[in-house]
Amino acid sequence: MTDLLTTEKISLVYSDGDRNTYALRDVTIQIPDRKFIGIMGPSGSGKSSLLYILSGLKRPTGGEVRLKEYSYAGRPDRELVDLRRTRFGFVFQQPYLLVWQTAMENVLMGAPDLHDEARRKAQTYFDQLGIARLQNKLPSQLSGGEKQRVCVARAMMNDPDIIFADEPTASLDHTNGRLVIDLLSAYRERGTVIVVTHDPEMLTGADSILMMRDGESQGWVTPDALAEAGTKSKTISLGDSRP
Amino acid sequence: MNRTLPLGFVIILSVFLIASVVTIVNSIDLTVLTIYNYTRVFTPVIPRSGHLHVNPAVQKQIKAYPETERVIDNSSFFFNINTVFGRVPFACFGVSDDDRAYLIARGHDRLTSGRMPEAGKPEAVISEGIARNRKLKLGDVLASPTDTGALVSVPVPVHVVGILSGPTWCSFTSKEFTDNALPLVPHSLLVTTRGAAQTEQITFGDKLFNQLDKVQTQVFSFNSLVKDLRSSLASMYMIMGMVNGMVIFVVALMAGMLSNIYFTQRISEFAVLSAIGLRRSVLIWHAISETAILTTIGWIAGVIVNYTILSVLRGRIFEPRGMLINPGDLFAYAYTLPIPVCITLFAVATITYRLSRLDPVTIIERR
Repeated sequence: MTDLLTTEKISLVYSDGDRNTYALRDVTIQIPDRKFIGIMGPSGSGKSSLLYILSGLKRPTGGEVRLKEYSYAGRPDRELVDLRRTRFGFVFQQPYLLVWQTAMENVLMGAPDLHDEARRKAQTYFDQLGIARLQNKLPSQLSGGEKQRVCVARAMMNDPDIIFADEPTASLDHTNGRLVIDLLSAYRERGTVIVVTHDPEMLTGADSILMMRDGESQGWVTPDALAEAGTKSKTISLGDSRP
Repeated sequence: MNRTLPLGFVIILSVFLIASVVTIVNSIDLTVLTIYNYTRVFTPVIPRSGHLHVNPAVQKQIKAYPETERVIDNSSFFFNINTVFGRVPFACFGVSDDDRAYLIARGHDRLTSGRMPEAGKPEAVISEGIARNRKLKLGDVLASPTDTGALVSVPVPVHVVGILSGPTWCSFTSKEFTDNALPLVPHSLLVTTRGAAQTEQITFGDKLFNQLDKVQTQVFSFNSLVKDLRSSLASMYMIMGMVNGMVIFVVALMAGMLSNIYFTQRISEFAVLSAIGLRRSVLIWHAISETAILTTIGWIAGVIVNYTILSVLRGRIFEPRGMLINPGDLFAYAYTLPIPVCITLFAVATITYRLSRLDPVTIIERR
């Protein structure tokens, strides 16, 4: 089975004079297609840095990232911007939307083109996400949960190979957070979803969870193992680089 | 919305400030054009050098022009009208009933109140605008022997007996009255063209101004009068122009800087859009669109505010004091166009600069 996304010993080092600080150190992982993947770890463990490097938002100081056979190394910024627009979808903690545009117009910004087909697809997402009545409203008229659902719809508009979600539920209440995670989780039928979160409850439906600590990969666990470890306070058995 | 409101208000107030100042300054010109509008209907020619009548040779020359329709001999007295630049003498022409009716019709005026002056009596018919300017009504004294500043005073009080409505400010008394009461006042000629269009009269007035003997006569053509007055006010215009220019510069700069702050607050929004793969050119286009929409709405609102406030001021302050002002002065609104243009340019320059140096991750990580 060909992995969708692979990393080879990627590192991210910040230099401060003579002192080097490792945000990531020799992380090697393989992420298969059509999976719901979680990345967990304490603050400063490097989980967000890993997500940015996987998505081409940040360049590693060492190692290599590949999307199937396509290596990010040496690619110009413009090419990585195009990669993000055409192959990836993003959901961030803050549901940023263009304030002057309606929810529908914001979602259409994620579309590769603005043909009628894109509008029909957006309409479908609005229906599926339960926000059809909001499509003509401005962001200022939406709640935080509604805005985040619009962001999810925008992330799906280009049929991405991977949706990257960085703490997508952190600014939401539990109900809205659960709803957003369920929407993302359902996307695994069409592509891979990678979610960074502090909250293990949001990853109960994940296929695998990558544990990070001090910039290093601690290996993969299943949600059940994570939950069991949580209730019994015992050490989790961690796997290798492949989930 | 909370962030756009202050910028919107600044634009509205800036447009109001500049447009109102320019409109008020332009009211001087409007006053000049209104007062001298009668010279677009007929051209007064007066004798010089202490003569009581225009030189016969000059009269013959005027009558010989193919454009000439009527040459009306008359004498006149003057009364004061109020303007933004002080009191200005205005002529009341003593003409025959037939000539008066002819000149009033030519100026597209008509009697709407009272009656025409009776022959030989100290009576006058005046335009509605003059009545408002002087706060006169039927029966009031238009000119009296004790008036100061008038070029030619009357020996007895002259009362208002009729009010004219129409675009041309004018004032007439009977020929018999001026002939009897002002025997030593020089007689002028009121010359009209065959064509009724005011442009033809203006052109003919210029021709008389240029071709008649300047030693013998003085021609009050529309263009020469306007030019004389404008040149006498040139220094004031220059100062006002400089003040306007400085106000526009400062206000546009201030509004542009406010716009800069507004977009600085939104830079994270653009950073995230950049992160999800929107090219900088797309984001810049959005910034331009948003700014253009905001400034356009602000500008239109500013124009409406200015028009409304100046209309109220015209009715409550300007007109009761005999001052003319045009709230719909397009020239004044054109002066305000640098505001939306400068703000948009500021926004574009700022966003372009910031986006070119922006690392989206640093913004997202800062959450």
